[in-house]
Amino acid sequence: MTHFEAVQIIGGHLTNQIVISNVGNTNRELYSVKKHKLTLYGVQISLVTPLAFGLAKGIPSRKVIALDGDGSLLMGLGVLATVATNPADNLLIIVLDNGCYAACGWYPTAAGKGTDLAGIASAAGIHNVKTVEKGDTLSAAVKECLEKNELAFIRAKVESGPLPKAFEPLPFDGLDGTYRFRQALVEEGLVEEWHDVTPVHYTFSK
Amino acid sequence: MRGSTSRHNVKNAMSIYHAIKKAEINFLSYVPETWTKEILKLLLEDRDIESVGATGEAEAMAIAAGASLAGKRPLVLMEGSGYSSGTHVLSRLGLMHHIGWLMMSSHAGGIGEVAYYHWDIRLVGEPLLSALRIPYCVVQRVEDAETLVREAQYTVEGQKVPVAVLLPHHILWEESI
Repeated sequence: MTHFEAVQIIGGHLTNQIVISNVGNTNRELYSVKKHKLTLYGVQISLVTPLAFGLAKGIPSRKVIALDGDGSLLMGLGVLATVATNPADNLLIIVLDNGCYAACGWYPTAAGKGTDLAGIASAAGIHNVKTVEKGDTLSAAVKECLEKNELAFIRAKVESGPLPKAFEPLPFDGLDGTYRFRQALVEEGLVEEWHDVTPVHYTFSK
Repeated sequence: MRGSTSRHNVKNAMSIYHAIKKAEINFLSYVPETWTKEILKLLLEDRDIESVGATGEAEAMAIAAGASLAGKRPLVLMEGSGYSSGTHVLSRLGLMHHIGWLMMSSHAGGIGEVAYYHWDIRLVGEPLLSALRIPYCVVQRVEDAETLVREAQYTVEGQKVPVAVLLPHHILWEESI
């Protein structure tokens, strides 16, 4: 299973879930696969899962997916302990584990040298942990986890090595993307619209 | 000489807690620290505030940012050194993604601090916040806490930026006995 194939499979399951997407290839591939309004694209490595966790805590009525990478998660492993000990039933963490830093020269991560992220997730206290290596098992795992109301962690082992240019660039930057995402949450009725709170006395009288 | 016999100022901790309540904070992510432990105790006892203990300040900030996007009014309570370890979160989620959250910490860079191991925080704390363009205020008189926390939260929501409230030694500790 290639990285892009995994993203295609995950994208195929997206309906009304909130998604926090990692930077790099994941970001662009996901946008290519599905223009999912409830996705916040391009979240800095190490921040994907904690940001998704905060959203899941704040909006318990909606499934939240952290679409993370092995290099990103390794940069902030402590969050697995936090998530496990303060569980949000609506959070699904999917780690696309290619064992390397794909966007910066294919240098191996610790996961590429043998560190088992699923094992770490289990040891942290997350009960529903799966490792999948093929497309059909990834699809089945995602489907099952989206249907269940339980904190879950999927390690999707994907092929390493140079990727074909299977993506299109995002037509917005991080700031614009955040405003689009926030507006999508408003349109879903999940958060209140932002209002200008400029005091009344700022208004000029005639 | 100020020393190990200093005690937490529980009365002031209560005032700070009430200021946080007045600002309608309803989500807390935290890393415990010695100076603010009485404030944390009060916040954790409050059933109306959902709390998450994080493994580090950067993680606590990122969780707060997610809660903020979800419409919560989050507070990050931590040691003042957390601004250093959370620098990339402040710049990326705070400045680039334009997400706001309130932060509160000890102010080891303030007048009255004697601990040698807070020397580095004195040197880099406020300059770091200034460099990051993070608005901040120092609560010099506990009577000002309610106003400053409220105003800080207004800036968080109105301008969508992280804002820091710093609490110096004389606010959090009683004088040596």
